[in-house]
Amino acid sequence: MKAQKDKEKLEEEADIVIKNNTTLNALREKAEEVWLRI
Amino acid sequence: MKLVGVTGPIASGKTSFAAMLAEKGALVIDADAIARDVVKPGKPAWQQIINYFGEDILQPNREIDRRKLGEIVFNAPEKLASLNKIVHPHVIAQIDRELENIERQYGNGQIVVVDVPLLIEVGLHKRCDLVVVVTADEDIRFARLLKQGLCKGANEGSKR
Repeated sequence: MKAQKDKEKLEEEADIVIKNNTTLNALREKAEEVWLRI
Repeated sequence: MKLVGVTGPIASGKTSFAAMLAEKGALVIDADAIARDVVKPGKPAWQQIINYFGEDILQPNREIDRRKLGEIVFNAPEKLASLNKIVHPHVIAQIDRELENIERQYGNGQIVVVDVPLLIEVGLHKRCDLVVVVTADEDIRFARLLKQGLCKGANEGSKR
C-alpha cells in the first residue's frame, strides 16, 4: 500500500515517466526523446 | 544551467538513463556516489552515524559495513528515517557545491542531470527544470537486483 502511494506521488511530480521494462536500446530511445525536449 | 532531475526506485535503470544523457553532453551528479563518499571514515556523516548506531557497524578498517547497516535500517523504518536524516543534508550540501562549481566552470548553458533516488522526498525536484521518473515493474527490478547480487530474494529486495 505504501509502495503504491510512493509510486503515485513520484509519478505525480514527474514531467516525464519512463517505464523501463525492456531493453537498454528502448531506454536509449527514451533518452533521445528527453534530450530533444531539454 | 538546465537542471534535469532523474529519480525512481532501485534497479529501475535511472543511473543507466542518466549515463545516456551524459553521452549526449550532460554532466551528471550521482547522489549515490556522494552518499557513499560522505560516510567515509573521518567525514562528518560517518561520525554522526557511529554516534547513532554504535561501533558495531564498523568493519576492521573503520569503514561502515554497509551490509550490516542495511540489515538494521531495512528492518526498522524509524532507523532508516534517522539514517536518512543524518546523511541527506550532507548529500544535498555536496550537490549544491558541485552545482556551484559547474555553473562557475561551464556557465549557464550547461545541462546537468542530478541522479537522486529520493529527489522528490528531499524536495530537490522543485529546483529542477525537468523531472524524469524512471520506473520498472517490481518483478523486473528484483530480477535485476538478483543479477547484480544486491539482494538475496524478493523479501530483501522489497525493503530496499
